Amino acid sequence: MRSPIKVASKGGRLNLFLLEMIIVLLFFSVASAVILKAFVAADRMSAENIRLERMSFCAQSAAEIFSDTGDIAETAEILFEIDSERFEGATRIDIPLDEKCNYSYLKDVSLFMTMKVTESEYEGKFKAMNISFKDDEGNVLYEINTAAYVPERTVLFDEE
Amino acid sequence: MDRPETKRLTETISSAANMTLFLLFAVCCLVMITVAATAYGRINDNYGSTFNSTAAVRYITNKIRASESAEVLAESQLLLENSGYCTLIYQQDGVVYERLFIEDDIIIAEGGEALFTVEILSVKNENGLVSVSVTDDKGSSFEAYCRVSDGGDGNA
Repeated sequence: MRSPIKVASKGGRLNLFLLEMIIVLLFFSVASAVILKAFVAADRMSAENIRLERMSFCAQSAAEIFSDTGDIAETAEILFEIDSERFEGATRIDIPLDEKCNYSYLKDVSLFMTMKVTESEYEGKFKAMNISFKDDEGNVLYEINTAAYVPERTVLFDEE
Repeated sequence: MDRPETKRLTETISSAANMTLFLLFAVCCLVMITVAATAYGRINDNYGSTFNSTAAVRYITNKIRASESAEVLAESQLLLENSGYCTLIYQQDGVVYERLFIEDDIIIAEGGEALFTVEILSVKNENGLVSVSVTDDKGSSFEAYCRVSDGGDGNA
């Protein structure tokens, strides 16, 4: 039985069907490469979006804690359970974090959170802090500024 | 002039090549669709899950900031007090609920309005800072600290 597909005619002329299939495959390869690239980019953007959300929560929490304590060492202790004695008196702390914004000192470190006291006035009662997140290459991914006013406790009545 | 055997062989090889190319095309199509569907599904799931969890954390922290005082009643129950009314935010069977009470009402964690679907809601009072942690059904969690003016024990 003869094949329904038209074969090459005499004289070595190209099989048109074969040529068409090759063109279709080439077109498909290019299209699939473009689509795959788009999906990979979307996947990466989705992961980056989640990471940014985590950074945002982490920075927000740090700002809230700092506004309560007025001390970056205490902020680091409450937020990441790092012993505050290590950073006593420090005006800048760099904390290595993993993808989920948890304190990490292992190989999975992909972020660095920097808390830096940028301003201190009224004998240290008012402090401004800059919180920034950087990747391995030092690119700033997320940054906020916050301030804390922690006045000394006033004795309103004689406790004796 | 070609011999009939050679012609038949050429015909067969040509058909086989065409069919192989067509098969390759079909397989590529299938792989492409599968990969795309998987990627889309994963992105969609991640987006939905993250949105739900982050929205829940943001909603609760904003509610805490807007309230006059906050009291942690249990690990998944938070009472936010304002003048004349109070709001109970609680989690039950994987759903976060919210219910309003008039002042001096008996506070019960029932009959609230469903807000978000989350696996675990954990609220803790840590020396005046309320920690709100939400975990979704995939085990991914988001946590935020929120400062409360009354120290988080309900005593404004």
